[in-house]
Amino acid sequence: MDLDKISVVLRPRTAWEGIDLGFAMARHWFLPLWLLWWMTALPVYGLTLLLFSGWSWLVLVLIWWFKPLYEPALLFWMSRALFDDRPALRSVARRWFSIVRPQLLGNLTWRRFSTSRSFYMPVGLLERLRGRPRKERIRVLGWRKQTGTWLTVVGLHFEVVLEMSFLLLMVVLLPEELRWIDLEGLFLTPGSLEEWLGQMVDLLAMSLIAPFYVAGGFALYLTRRTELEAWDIELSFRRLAARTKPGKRPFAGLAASLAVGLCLVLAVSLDQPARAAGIDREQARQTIDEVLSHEDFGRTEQVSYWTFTGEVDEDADSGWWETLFELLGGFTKGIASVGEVLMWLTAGLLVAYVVYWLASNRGWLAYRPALGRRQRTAAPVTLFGLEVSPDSLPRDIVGEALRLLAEAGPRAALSLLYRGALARFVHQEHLEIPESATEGECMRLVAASRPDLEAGLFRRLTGLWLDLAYGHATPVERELEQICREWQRIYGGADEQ
Amino acid sequence: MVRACAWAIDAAIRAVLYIAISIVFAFLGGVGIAFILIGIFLIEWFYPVLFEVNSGATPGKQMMGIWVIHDNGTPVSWPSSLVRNLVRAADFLPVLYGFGLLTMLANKDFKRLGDLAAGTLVVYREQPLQRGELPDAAAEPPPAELTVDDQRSLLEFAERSNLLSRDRGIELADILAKLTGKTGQQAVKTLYAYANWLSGRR
Repeated sequence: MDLDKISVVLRPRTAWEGIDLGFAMARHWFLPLWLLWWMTALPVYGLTLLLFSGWSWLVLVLIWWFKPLYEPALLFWMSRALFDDRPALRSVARRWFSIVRPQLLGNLTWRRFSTSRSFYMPVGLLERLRGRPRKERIRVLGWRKQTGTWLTVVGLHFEVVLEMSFLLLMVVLLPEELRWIDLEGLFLTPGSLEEWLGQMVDLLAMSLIAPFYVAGGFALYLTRRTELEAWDIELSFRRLAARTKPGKRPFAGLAASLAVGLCLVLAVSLDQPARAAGIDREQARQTIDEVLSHEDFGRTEQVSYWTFTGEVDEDADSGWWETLFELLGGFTKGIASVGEVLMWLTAGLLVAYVVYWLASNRGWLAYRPALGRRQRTAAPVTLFGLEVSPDSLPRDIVGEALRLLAEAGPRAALSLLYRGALARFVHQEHLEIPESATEGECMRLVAASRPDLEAGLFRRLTGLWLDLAYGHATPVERELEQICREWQRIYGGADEQ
Repeated sequence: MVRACAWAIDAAIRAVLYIAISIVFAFLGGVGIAFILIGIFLIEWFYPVLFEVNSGATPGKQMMGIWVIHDNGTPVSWPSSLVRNLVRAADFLPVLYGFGLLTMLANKDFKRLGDLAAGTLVVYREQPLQRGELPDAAAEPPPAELTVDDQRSLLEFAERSNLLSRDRGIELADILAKLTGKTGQQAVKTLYAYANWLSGRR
């Protein structure tokens, strides 16, 4: 390994940058790497096809499984190309078995499931370590294992995406008339054509990703080793050593090419290295200041010139603005006061309306009798066609009723009694009965405001009267007599009015 | 690679957002479905744009330590971010970024079609440089004149001393035997001394 010939820039990198370096390498050397991959993969594919032509899925699994067979050649070629020695593909083919052989069994069985395959591949194939040293080596490198795993995971996804893309693209781009494959046939019920297509596309996707995968792992490995073994420092030291000639100090001619600051510091040390080391900070600063104050390092100059600094007559300007603002201010103030007046007016109107509304709807708030008292003047003269004014009635209602009962029959007597009772309630007890009230309403009003005894009598009267008036049922004489006696008991024999 | 991981993170974040939106608006019936569709549209097209213009990177890219800039190194602007995210649709074809992947693998700067169209570049966000501790040694000026690169590698040698094995350190120091005039552990010590001198300790 001759680091001087390395064809990539070595520097400490993050793991991701390492992978990117690998991808750049893979792109740079894509064609040889791709051909190398096919060199192994195609025969393997042919062989599996011959052996297991009936089982398409098995062929797919096997060509995937044998990936560790295809990849070593790529790695080998890259490890040479990295140091500027590109072996011919033919020579790689000739040495193919010795390249692939190390730990082939392990690679194809238990280590096939290693998630960092391409990262660890250089350890086995290039360093040819096995067993304990290999484990030890991987432990040292292992700190970047995570990124190696991600490389595998993402690479796998890339492969699937590419494969799907190719298949889909093919289906989409086929003209409608030539539709000899369709999506359903491709993915669900593949015939022999679809199977063959699937395998080819699978191989193609794998072949495209493989160089990137191998190179990514290899670059990750390089990055880690660069960090562990300071390859970049070694390269730089070698260049420096090549320039240094022992016993001689080849400076004077080179001084001009150096950076100014460096030149200053070193210029002192060049002539007398011993003194340079002994110089103290104060002296150095003084010297530096002296040198820097020289005209070559710039000087201070005073230059005066005219420059536009803006409008001068600001007074007039601001005055104008002020008046405008005042005007505007007055305007807004005016609007504000008008608004205030309007607001108070609206409030007053609202209050007035509320008061008016309350006044006009007092009935809702006050209790009922107040309403009645207001309408007090209009005491009814007739109720449902019956005269109830006291003038139309005899003074002794009960006596007259008994007389009528004996002479004209119960109908006239009952009529008189009912009218008498109503007149009594309206004119003596000042009960508010509107002219429009019905018999039932009268009864309810009486019941609500008179003692039970009177109410009971009136209820009986009303019942009899209703039966008579609407049902044409003549009341029983005995009952009428009972009512008359009841009347006398309550109101006294003759009317007192 | 990094971009794929960043994309996966972003896709996960977006999926969570979609689910959240769907749950919130699912109670609104027909109007809710309209809101869900509008929300998905807005997130799908403007989620990357907003983040890229604001901070140069979507949350996924931020986590992976990368960001989007113009080809000339200036921060990405509205038009270019819009273009690169609208062309995303072309990158996505035929399925799951098939074209985008191929373009990136074939392109020198890992640009996908959207990056090519908008003139943008996805780069690593430079982390602030962390200088390692220099091993203790009496400062001593290097005997020869050194280029900036030489000085840098001397400093790196000292700073990375704890990463290197003892033998490898000696091996490296022996390369400069002509400069130091010493070999073995003594040479290593001398190089440390130079590094201390270069770092400004006198």
